[in-house]
Amino acid sequence: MSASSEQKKGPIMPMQLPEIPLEAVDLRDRTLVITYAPELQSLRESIARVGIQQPPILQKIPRSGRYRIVCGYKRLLVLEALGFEKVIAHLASAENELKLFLRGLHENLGTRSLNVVEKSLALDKLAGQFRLSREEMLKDHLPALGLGSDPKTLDLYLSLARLEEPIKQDLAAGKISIATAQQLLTLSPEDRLAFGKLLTALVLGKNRQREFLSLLRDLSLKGKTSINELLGDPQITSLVQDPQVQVPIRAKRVRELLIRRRYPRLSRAADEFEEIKKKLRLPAHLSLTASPFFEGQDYRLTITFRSREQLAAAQKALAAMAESSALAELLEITFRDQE
Amino acid sequence: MGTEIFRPQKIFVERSIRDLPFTRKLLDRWPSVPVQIVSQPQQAVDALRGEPDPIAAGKRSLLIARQRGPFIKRCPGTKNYICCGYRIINAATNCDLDCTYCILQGYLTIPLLTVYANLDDLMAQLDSFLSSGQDEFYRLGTGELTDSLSLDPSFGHARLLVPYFADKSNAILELKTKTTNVEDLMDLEHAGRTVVSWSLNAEPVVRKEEHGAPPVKERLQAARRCYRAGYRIGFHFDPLIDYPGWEEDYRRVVEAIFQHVDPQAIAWISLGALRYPPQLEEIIRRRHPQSEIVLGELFPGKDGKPRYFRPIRTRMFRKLNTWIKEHDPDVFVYLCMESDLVWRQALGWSPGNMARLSRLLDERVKP
Ligand code: SF4
Repeated sequence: MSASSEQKKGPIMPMQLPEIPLEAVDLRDRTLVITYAPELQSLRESIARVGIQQPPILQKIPRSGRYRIVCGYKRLLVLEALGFEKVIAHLASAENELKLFLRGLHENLGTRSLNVVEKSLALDKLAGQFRLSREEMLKDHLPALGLGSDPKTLDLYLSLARLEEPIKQDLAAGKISIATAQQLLTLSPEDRLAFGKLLTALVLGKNRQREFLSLLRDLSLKGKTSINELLGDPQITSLVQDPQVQVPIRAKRVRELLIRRRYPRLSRAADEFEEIKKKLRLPAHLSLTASPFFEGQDYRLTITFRSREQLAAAQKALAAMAESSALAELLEITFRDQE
Repeated sequence: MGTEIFRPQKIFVERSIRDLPFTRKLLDRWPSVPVQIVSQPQQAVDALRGEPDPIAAGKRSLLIARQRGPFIKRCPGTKNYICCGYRIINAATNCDLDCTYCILQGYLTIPLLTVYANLDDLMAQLDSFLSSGQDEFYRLGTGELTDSLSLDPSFGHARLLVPYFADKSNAILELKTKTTNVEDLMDLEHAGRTVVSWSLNAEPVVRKEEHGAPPVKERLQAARRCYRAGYRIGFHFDPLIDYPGWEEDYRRVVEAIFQHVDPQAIAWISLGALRYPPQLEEIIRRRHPQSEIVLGELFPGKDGKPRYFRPIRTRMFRKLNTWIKEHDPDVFVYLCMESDLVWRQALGWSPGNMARLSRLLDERVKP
């Protein structure tokens, strides 16, 4: 069913429910709404085809004569977008607001899983708007949201509600992990937003997010500068924005640069090792590795072959390597100091 | 500034030792401090739950308990590095100082200051331990899971142990400290069988990382008092911290050692670079956000513990060793938990294994 002109009144329901003009519904009043960054496309298609199966719940505000959403925020957004003029809705009796809020919340919980931000907003409203005690939250509401009953989890979710909008959107969309968000909470708002922009630009996976954040945090502490300033560094911005290369390559290059700055001495040793490896001119099927972080003095050489000829070639390359002056250099770097 | 006199905010007493003389002595010392009798140490641990910083709270609470395990243990050392064959006398655990790098922050299952009251068991275990291996020589110390002297004015372990070791020919006692609490040592009969040693560091490191510990100068003045009282003296530069300007600062400490103590009296000087169990990093960052030690170039070593990039530590060890040897080439310098490679690179030789290092250290203090 499409939104043709005679259907602009909204779906036909079996029960006698009031028809409310859509313009009388205050879509900006989120007092009782926890829905955040909803995905509307599939709902839109469904409503356009078969209408609303479950009428929203509204509360009339006597002072203004307008309606507040108790439940059905997404449905109402879609109806508005589809050009409906009226909606058939349940009208909530003038119960206290907490009851209405919990009714809406549990309707949501019964039909879909809430994203992280929605859970944090729900808890934030219960604590702030409805002034529930910590004990009540821990006993009833945290478990109802599937979050257990650990006070630390409650504190974390309450803090998440205070994140800036762009960060919350990434969190709701699953682009930022909760672990990363938790770390972001320790940063200043400017640093958080700068990091959020970097995440969006480089499309980092969750492990990389953690790694980037930890590198940036350490570099900012070491350099006594903010992450925001660090990310404004021309060398970094040019890598982040380089139009010549694809995003994953940009991310790789930024990562390498950050590692280089965080671990300059290890990076120098690794460069030196690579230089010497080049001088050794090893064929592709011989691979040479140093001990992890150059902690030991052993090197490991791996030969990969699938024919007698390849093995013989490797043998020849090994003999040449044993005679090479680059080998002496290689063995000597183990004993080199660094300033 | 000396070490502040310790006074717990709360005392937990395990029921089974509440009437032992040591317990009574401690309770008499702090008559106005609230006391709670517990049947198990775990009850005291539970009381710290909900504290914003249970480790800090643990340092203000004293648990007087019964040592149920052995009082004497081998120092656990670390995998794939050469350790020195030390024995730990576990008469107390935890410490009232709060060094940022202290491994006890992540190590203790009972995060309270804990002292064991069944001292008769301690002495009996020492008797049987030292008489069982008459041919062997043992270096034992109380300063691995605590600071040996920080709480000694209250606990009095030195007064018990120093005279005990005075007539032992197959063992030496080491009291390792950062404090200046040596008053009680002055009149003790020690017969040269106790080494009093100080953990030293560069002054900026002391100020930033060793919270509650006195400055190096005061530690060295205390060392001088002990030297004058005839004790052998040890020094431990551990953990060495790499930061811009470390050379100048550490060199100054080396100079100061020799201004305070005759090299002849020095049993040993050990060098150890910053390293810690991996899980400690998170604790350091959380509890000591102003500390920069975790920002060094540290990587997992062969034991999985983060330690400085090898060339960094080698260089630090080599420099310190050189400065020490410039003062007296005969001072025995050893590395704490290092690889054979680092020994050779830094000091030009290596004991090769624990047994040899242990023997060399024994030689320094055998009667
Ligand atoms: S003095 Fe030793 S035991 Fe005490 S906090 Fe410092 S490192 Fe830990």
